Amino acid sequence: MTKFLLKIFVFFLITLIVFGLYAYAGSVLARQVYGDSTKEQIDKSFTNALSREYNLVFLGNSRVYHGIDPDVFPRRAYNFAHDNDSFNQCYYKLKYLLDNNVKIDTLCLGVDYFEFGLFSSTKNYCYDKYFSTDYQADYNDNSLSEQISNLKRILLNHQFLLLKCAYKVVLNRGHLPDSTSYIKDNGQYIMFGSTGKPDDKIHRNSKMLDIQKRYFEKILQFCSERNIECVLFMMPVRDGEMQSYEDKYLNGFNTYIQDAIAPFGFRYINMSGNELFKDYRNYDDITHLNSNGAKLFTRYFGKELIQHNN
Amino acid sequence: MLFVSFFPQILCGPISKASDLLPQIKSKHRFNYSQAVDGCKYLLWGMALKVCVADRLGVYVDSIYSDYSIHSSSTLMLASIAYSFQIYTDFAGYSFMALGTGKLLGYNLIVNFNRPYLASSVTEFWKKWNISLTQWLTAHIYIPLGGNRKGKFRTYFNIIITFLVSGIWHGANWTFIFWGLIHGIAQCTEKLCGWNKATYGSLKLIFRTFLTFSIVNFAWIYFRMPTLAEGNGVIRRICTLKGSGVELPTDENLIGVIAAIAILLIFDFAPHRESPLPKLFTCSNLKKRRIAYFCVMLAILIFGVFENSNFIYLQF
Repeated sequence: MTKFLLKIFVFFLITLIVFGLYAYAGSVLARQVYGDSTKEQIDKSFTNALSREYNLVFLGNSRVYHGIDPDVFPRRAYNFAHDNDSFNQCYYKLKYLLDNNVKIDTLCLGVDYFEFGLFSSTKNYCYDKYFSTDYQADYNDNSLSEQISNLKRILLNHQFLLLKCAYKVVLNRGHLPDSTSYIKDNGQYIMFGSTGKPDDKIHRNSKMLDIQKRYFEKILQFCSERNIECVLFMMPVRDGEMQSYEDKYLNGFNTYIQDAIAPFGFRYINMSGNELFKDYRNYDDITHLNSNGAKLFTRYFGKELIQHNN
Repeated sequence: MLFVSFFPQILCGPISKASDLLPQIKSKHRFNYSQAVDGCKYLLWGMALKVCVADRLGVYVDSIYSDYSIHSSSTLMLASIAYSFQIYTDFAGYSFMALGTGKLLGYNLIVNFNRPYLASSVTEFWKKWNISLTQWLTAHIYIPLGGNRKGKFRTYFNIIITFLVSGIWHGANWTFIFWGLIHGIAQCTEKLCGWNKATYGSLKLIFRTFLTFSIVNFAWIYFRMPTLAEGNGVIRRICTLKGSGVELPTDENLIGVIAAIAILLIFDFAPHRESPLPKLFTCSNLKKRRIAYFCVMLAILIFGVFENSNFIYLQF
């Protein structure tokens, strides 16, 4: 039996070493092909959130993260959104800013038809060090299961990296791409290597989780208590995404938002159907505005906001 | 007590006969090196089928079937084929792992799958698919009903009843009953036309294998969908050629799916062999064997899906 166990041990050891080298090579090449890793983006975003001067902050999911360029916004603003964020992450981000004495008077909170249905834990391995233990408590993960899921996530993140990067390099005839995706100092994410197509489509779930409703209402309450003006806005949504939703759900969603903000006197600007932003050439894919689209939209939104204020 | 609670097979088989397992439980066990190595081989191969093939295909299948009404007929057709391979590798993977665990503990369990999609009739398919369940249904339903001893009509009736029971065994849902009915009717038709016995030339054999796979694939659609109406919806959409273009798996999933199917085809279309394991796992060349184990293990790590997966057959 000793011989058997020893052989099994050696087998797994060699496999893990080889896989470790594969994963390491993948992460090095990925940095050159894709740019900042998720962890680097989030760390940079949190660092800049405390060091920059602004009094308006944008929170929301990846559509805000890609689609809002604070450089062209008429006020001093910071984009503190990130991929897969929903209202629980937004709440703790807002709390993080205020706990760190960032003076903000306006919160522009991105809402999306599918956002209440998300309860993502994919970025928790980055967020855990910034948020209080209350945030982690929602996920019901004990430290062991979280460690295991983090390990799985790291494993999954690296699985195809080397293959994908090698594929991209081969596509570029042996050269690394000229530009890689990066996060700007103002918090906006600039993506390279993907362009929208006319027939892009995506399926979205139409559900609203109680936990996200609870956090959404907590954000409104929190802003009201701290005298922060909260402006809810919805980014433009392309037809290939809108077809996921039934009218009944859309009406119910918008009624819920209006009813939730009414006691606080906050505003809701829904630009999902705006025809100015339907052109696929303004997008990186079905759902994210590209840097040009983001500039156009941010300027438009800035004007809308001022108009509403007047 | 030990027989019914033998953990490697308790979740979803294989269904061992008491006469096979009890003598093994009663006999004394000592560590057997070659049996333990065999067990590890089955575990490794079962794991590869499950996480590299079944779960990788599952990512694509779930994305399509979650809302079939927005996908084109060709996409649905592709997803249905992917599901056929998914359920095969999922269940066969589990069975190999159960077999491997048994061998590590010193027990020999029944081999439950023998390249079922290469069957040239539905009758033959059931001799290669979930073999232990087929044997159980034959012994406890078909034979007690009279088997083929009471005339042609009664034989067909017994087959239909057996497969209806097989459907109900999988779950209290009309979809499973209909799935069983399709298999029952297909076997009766084969018996009626003599297709279950006939030998074929290579071209005819290929055609019959393709036809058998098509029937089985068609039945799997009902097996997969939550309701009969949704199963009909998928079939209707496929038949009426709704939509255009094929939606392929995206990005890394495409690489994964191609690798998954390649693994399966290399394995299943290999020349006839006695062991259900890949030939490289059992060849006499030690170096080749070690490289094969290592490559499969690495494939599991690189192409495997490790999140939100469960064995399909656990629900039955």
